[in-house]
Amino acid sequence: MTAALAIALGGVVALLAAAAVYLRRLRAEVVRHRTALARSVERLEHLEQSFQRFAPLDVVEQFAQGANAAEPTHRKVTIMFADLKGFTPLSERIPPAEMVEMLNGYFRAMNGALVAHHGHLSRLMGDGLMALFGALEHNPWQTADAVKAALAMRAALAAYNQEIARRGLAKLEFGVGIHTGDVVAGVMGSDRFMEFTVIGDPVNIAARVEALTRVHQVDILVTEDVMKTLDPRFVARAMPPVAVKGKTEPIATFAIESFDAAVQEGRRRA
Amino acid sequence: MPLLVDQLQWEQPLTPEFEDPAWEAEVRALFGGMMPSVLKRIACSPWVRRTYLDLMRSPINTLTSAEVELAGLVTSQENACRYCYGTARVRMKMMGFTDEMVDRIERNVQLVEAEPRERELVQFCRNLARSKPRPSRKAREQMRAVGFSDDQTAELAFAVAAMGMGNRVSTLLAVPPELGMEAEGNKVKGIWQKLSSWVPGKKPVLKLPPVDYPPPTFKGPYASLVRSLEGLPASSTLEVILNAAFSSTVLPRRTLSLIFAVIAHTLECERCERTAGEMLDVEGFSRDDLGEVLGALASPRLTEMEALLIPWARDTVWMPEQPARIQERTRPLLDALGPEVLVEAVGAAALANGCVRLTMLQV
Repeated sequence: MTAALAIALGGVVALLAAAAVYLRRLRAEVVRHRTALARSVERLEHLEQSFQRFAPLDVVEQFAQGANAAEPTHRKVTIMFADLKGFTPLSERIPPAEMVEMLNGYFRAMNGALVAHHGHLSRLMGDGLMALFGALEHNPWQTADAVKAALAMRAALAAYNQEIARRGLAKLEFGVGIHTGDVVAGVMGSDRFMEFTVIGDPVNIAARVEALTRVHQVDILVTEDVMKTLDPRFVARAMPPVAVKGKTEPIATFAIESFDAAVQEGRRRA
Repeated sequence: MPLLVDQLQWEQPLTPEFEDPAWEAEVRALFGGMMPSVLKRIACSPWVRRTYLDLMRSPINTLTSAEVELAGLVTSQENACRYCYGTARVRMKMMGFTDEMVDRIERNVQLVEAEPRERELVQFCRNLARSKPRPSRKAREQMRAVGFSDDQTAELAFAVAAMGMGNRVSTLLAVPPELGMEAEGNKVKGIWQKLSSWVPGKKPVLKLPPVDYPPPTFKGPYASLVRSLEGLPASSTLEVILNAAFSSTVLPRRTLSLIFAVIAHTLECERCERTAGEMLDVEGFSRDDLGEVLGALASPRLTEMEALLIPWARDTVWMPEQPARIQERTRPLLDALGPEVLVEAVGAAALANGCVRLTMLQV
């Protein structure tokens, strides 16, 4: 009887020992999988954060949710082009690293002004940029936002010029063109290269208007379509209409001088 | 992915802790002796402080506590509210959620492995909190497809809207995070605490006694919105809150209606914009004047206070990735209007944002 009990007990102990070994292995396996999963998550997060430098957060998230999530849509968008004037000859006179540093500082300053006024930087083209207002979310004030952003960019550029002047570098000048209209917004490109952007005639017009800043010798130009939407606080000067490539009618533009909040105050007191 | 709790930049608080012994005694009695910082920093406004407290105590009948806490965590993270996000994490842990579970929800990337119901709940909360664009009937149908009843969806929408209001109040005023509570909640729990959190019938640690308001009359401001919650306790809470807000003696009814109109216009809610227009008619503010305000976020018809608040109200619709940005934007209002008016304005913007989001139940 005692011997049988001892054998049974021994069996139970052996079974428990085997179960303990199995559990240890299982636990090690779980830890291994969990660590691998945590690493994958970290990698995915890092990728997602890295992609946010190339496309807006909302677009990256839509892509992460599914391939069809970022479908192209028709929408009213305000498009801004900004380009540095005379930067190419300047860039030939300074070392490449210094030129890139100077450009990066410029883009940082411009991006701050854009984001503060509900815009987002869509594309960099050498020393030029394209920014969009109302492309990612409904924005009934997109034209005013774009013009305020341009004025903030003017102020940011002045501050940046003081900074680079201390480093003995020549001051930068830019031209900004703004137009508004219906475009197709979405992620476009090939399987090798894609970006969130907009296409349509308004985009071409905005680019042409930016080029007209050189013709009119001003820094911020907007089209009549933009001007019609602005309230009297935006102080602007009409420019003579100019024929541009691809357009049968000359384009009427307005040079933006300032934003004068006192205009409203005056009207309030009147 | 929205930022995690430790990645959020948070400014110094905009308002002081207002002393009101009767209020403090009431809150401490409800919170087991604790006095949340936010309820001291909004104590100067009777309706804002009551709204904040009522929203925490409004009964939710059809969802589990875990689902409500989950909605709170996701909404707070989406709105980048350091204060609420920190406390929501602690509350989830107190309810028995493990660090891994909280981490999984916050990071969103592993949601593909979650149950369809949980995944849809998280996505619904994120989309409604974000409202880019505002969710519609399709979102409600998706919830139905994974087993949520219409009442559950309505209560979830209310929970997201309520949490969003709390998020905006805490963020816009930069209420300091409850670091003591967070540290306590983040301590490694003993085996007994872990097990006891699963004991049936065990009350969650921070369960507040629910508010008990009479059935709604559907006669006050935004009555149709209150009606969209008919049959649920949230309808009474919302009606009481709206009546109190529109009876404020600090922020004129007209200013509050204008804030509602601007937020409705930003979120493309014609119904809310129309209701605001009707309320402004009563105040003698014409449709043409409202059109000018909505066109330019400015008008000579605005008072000096309104001229400051209207463009700012628009900026409260989508919380920036870094809350410090909207806090910097709000600080000049404090200098111009003083803390009492600022708290009311923040409460108004928070309420309008919540109500306009809630109209997804009406489309």
